[in-house]
Amino acid sequence: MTRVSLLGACGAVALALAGCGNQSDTSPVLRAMKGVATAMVKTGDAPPPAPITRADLAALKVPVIQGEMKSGNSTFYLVPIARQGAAETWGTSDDLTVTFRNGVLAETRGFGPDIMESTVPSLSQLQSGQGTHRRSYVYLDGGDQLRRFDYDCSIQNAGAETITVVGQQHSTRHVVENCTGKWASFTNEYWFESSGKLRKSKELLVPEWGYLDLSRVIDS
Amino acid sequence: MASNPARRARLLVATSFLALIAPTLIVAQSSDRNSLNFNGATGLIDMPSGEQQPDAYLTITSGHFGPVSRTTLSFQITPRMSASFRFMGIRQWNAQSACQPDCSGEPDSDGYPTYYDRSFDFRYQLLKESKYVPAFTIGLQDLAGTGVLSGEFVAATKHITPDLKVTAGLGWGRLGSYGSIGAPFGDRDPIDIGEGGNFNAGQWFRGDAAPFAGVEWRANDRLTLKAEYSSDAYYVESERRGTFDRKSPFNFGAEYTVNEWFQIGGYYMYGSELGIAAHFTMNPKNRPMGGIKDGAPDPVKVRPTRAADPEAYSTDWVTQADAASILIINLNKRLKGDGVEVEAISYTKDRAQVRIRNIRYDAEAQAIGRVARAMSYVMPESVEVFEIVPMVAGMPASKVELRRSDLERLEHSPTASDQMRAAVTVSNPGARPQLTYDAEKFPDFRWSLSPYNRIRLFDQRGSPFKMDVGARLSARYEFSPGWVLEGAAVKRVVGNLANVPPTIDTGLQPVRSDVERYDANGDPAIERITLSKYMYFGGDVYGRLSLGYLERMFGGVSGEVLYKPVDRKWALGAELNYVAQRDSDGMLGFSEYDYQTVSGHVSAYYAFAEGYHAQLDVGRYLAGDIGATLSLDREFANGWRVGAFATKTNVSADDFGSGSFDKGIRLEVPLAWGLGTPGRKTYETVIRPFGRDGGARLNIEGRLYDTVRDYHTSGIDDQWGRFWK
Repeated sequence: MTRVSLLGACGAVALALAGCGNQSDTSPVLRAMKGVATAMVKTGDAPPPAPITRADLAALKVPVIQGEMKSGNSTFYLVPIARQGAAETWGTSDDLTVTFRNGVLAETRGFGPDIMESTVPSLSQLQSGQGTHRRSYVYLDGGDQLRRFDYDCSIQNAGAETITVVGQQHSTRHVVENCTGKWASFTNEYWFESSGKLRKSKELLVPEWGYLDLSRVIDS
Repeated sequence: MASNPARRARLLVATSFLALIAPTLIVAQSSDRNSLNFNGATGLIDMPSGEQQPDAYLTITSGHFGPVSRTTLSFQITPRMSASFRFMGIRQWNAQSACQPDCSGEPDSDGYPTYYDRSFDFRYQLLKESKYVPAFTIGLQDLAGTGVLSGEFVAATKHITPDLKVTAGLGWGRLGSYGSIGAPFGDRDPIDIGEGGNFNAGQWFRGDAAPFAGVEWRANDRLTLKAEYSSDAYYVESERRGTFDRKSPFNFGAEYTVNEWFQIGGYYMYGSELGIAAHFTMNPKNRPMGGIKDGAPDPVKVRPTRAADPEAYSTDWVTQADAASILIINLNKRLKGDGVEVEAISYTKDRAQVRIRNIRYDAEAQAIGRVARAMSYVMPESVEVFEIVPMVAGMPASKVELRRSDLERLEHSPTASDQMRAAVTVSNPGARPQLTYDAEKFPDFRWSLSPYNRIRLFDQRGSPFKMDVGARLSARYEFSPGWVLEGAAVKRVVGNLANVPPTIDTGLQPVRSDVERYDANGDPAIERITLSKYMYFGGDVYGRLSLGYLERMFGGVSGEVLYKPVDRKWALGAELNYVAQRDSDGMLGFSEYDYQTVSGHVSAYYAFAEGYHAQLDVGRYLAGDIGATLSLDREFANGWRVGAFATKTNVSADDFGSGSFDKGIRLEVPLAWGLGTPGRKTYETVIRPFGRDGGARLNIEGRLYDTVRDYHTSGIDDQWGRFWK
């Protein structure tokens, strides 16, 4: 679209809302209102998306983790996008990333209240089903300052459990990690297969929002 | 390419958006907030207490009972120091004037039925509450106005149980007008109001003193009940003017906490009137929605080791003819979603500089972090040192240098932020390297059509709050680096600023007091059309030259030089302007006033403590007066700024008119604070109790100090945590 036609399209309606222009930072208010307007228009006539099957995911031919956030009632699918030493970063196509250090959730981006930095146990420590350790999470607060939250944690075996991950059953050993801190307490959970493969985990994002449920669907 | 599977997954995951409610945590909340009184001060109902608000809280209180309405903006300047600015209206001022026929010596409303006044308070907490010691505050109410509300107090507050606290205090002036126990510090002379606006120091703590007291009980998390004994007789309002009947010194109230940011209360006042108050709270330190929500960055791309792939480190690319343009195109492609643009690059085999425009990120560190990551994808492996130079208005503002191997090594460290900061150097932009420009970035044209509003407060005639709403068309054309042609025009759509009030002769050229003529006549109006050249002279010196219609009321030439070392807390600047007053119709003429003048200032800037900033300007103002302006601001990492300024010039108080000298409050609120998404827009407002002609500065856009300092060490450091966001 040329500039002239853009100017023409910028009519009274758009102006009444909040403004327009070619500056990407013209009006965040407008962007917000557009979002609301779009959502309102779409409500009702958008058909529900077809449920995603294991076959759909397998067709990608890359490992896939299904993530769920109960508090946000949302599901997302992660594929590996980068590796740096022991840190492996997985991402969605819509700009969410989760980084695992030695297989344990260590950082997130794109969620909002992201884990910016952390100290976490290793997967083998968790797999052992016993012991204590210290965890710490660092978040950005509403003033863009990093805030650190420390927790004292202990690991326990919770016995054998058969779980279902996107239509497939897995026999696993259930391990729980109880963490207590000055501000909050939480419990992470892990389901290990006999091979040592972590099939599923439920790991804290931030106490106010809750956990990410991460199911390793496709291993390839 | 690593992101390929992600792209393939796009179809599948189109539904995986998150519709999440903002977290309230990570914002340190104090559940035990101290409540505010009708005057917007921390206190009981009409009386103050010994307590203060949490540091940095900005509150607006609107309290109304009977004929008395007060709206107050208060700011907790430091944990112990707070100030308030208040606008008061008393209705039925002339309804039954007990003082008739002789009302001299009493405030006059010029025949209007409502008397309006402005006042300013200051409070300091001498003691914080501890096990045996109460919170203890000393305060001055209406310390510089016409004195209608003037009163001083000391007050002590102590918790008896966690939910019950008692306050006792002693008031002077207005706060000592009922139930006096005598005058411990001598007589209180009548105020010599004059033009108002001066400190009435001779009166403070003089005259009759009277005790006041109250209790506050928090019934549950939401409901607080209050009762107080008031030492304010409301002598003028009740006895002399008969605006209401003060039957009793006792007040009772119930307050409800809707949420952390809004409280509302209902009251029974002085045995005769019902009252209502609403309290709005903002915490500039923390966004109401917590951290910024923004899409994830691409992870840093890690190079293969030199041993594993020596060929990757070949430097042949340096001599490739089209290398520069390929690199720029690829960088801009990567950064498109981040709202960062690369203007130019320069490189050698192991070092590359990119010159960026940050359009989107309120946190400069985040823009730099995104560029560094994009460079890790685009730059050939042999490039080890990244130099990122933020450009503003065509000027390099600083140079941020980092080692690529640090970027690769530290990204996922448990202390990534601190380690990375230690590995980065911020310096002045330095000598200009041999640059290759992106031909698509010049000329750079931006325009916007957006709503504007213009607010006039404190107008005695009719409503004290008047406003115009309309459309503003702005455009900016940077035809080559640093050469900027820009302009803005407005058209009113609706409003009530169109009536021109009678001109009051002040003995000065009406450089600002005629603003109402400009409001009324300038529809549509050209606000600005300027041609500017921004320059970096090398070292720590920056310059600006502007020509044209510089602001609504003046046009001419303006030149400025700034010395601002990147890592220092201070800067020096000088500005010289030759301007003529524009016609009030907002068009291109200069004949209506036929007034030309030279104005200019020498300015010193100093960040005297973490988050506290002072500016001193000394020079010649628009009406030809000579003097100085002192501005003090509290600045927050996220871009909030709350401050006050005062200007004293050689204009007499008589010539200046009401208020005696120019002063005011200014607020700058970043939109990103309220929206929770990145953006560089801010909303700025200046509240002047009296807008007059003395001490008026040229209102030019693009002054250098605020233009460059965001990208200097302190501006980058105060949001450094967002480098890795």
